[in-house]
Amino acid sequence: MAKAVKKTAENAAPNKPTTKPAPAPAADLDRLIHDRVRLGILSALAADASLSFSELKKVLKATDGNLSVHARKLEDAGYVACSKGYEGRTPRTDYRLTREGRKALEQYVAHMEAIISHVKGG
Amino acid sequence: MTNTQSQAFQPEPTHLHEHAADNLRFIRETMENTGRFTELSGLGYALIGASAALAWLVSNALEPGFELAVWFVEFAVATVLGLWFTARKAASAGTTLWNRSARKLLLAFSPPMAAGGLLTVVLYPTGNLALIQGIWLSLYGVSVMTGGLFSVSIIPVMGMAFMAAGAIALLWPDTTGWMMLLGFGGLHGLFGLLIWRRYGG
Repeated sequence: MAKAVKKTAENAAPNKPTTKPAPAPAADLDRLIHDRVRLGILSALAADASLSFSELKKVLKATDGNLSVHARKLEDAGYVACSKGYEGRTPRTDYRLTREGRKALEQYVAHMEAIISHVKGG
Repeated sequence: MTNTQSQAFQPEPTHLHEHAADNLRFIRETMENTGRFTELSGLGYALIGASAALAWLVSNALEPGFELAVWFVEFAVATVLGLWFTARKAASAGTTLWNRSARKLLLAFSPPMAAGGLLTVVLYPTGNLALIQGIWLSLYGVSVMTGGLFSVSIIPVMGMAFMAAGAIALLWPDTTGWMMLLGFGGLHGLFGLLIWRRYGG
């Protein structure tokens, strides 16, 4: 399917008298961010410099297990940084967006905007 | 490209752009739901506390007529310290002092401060310094509490502590001097250290 979209874009480009560049094909999308929970984690951390696990859970209305799995994937990709500590006697895990994570989110937003403007312009 | 191929791919752009719009909406809504300003500087608050303690010492050493002037200078110093250290912390976190959550915080913080300024102007001719300073503590507490709703959870607690100090000062005017030291010096210092330790400088 992704190949098909790419092929369509390549074929269509020479015939279109438009100055707007075609949006990058879907295959170029950062699949890691495309998932809703992971996109939510990055968006929340872009708005707030640091959020705890429980704060993220509240904002995203996610379960412990779900959030944990997705946060780990983003951490492994270097998009978020995680620090563990204690608040009194309660363990606390804080997440921050890394430079790479912010860049990836910005690219993702730019990609979405390009798709929208291409369709509107076309 | 054949006609059949063209028809097969036709729904794709519509599908993609709807998804794209939905994703952008999701990102914006998530950011709005999150938006708290977490870059208030613990170190900045601690230094404001130290400067307020110094102002209290100076105001006690001077003639009573200069007391308000000393606190006006302290207000300017505290504003500069707060803004400087908060901007520094925000910059190190890759954000600015003028993002959406900071603006919301400022919007909630400002009205009680403006009311405090107005009451100071109105009450100044009466010469009732204890009443003016009790109002400062109370309304600053309200400002910190309402503004703190858009920041980390410890800030509204500091606001409540200031309101309590203001209530004591207003109900027992003899304690006003000590409440000024305890509030602007002690509470800023204490909560500044707590914020510094928990949320960074």
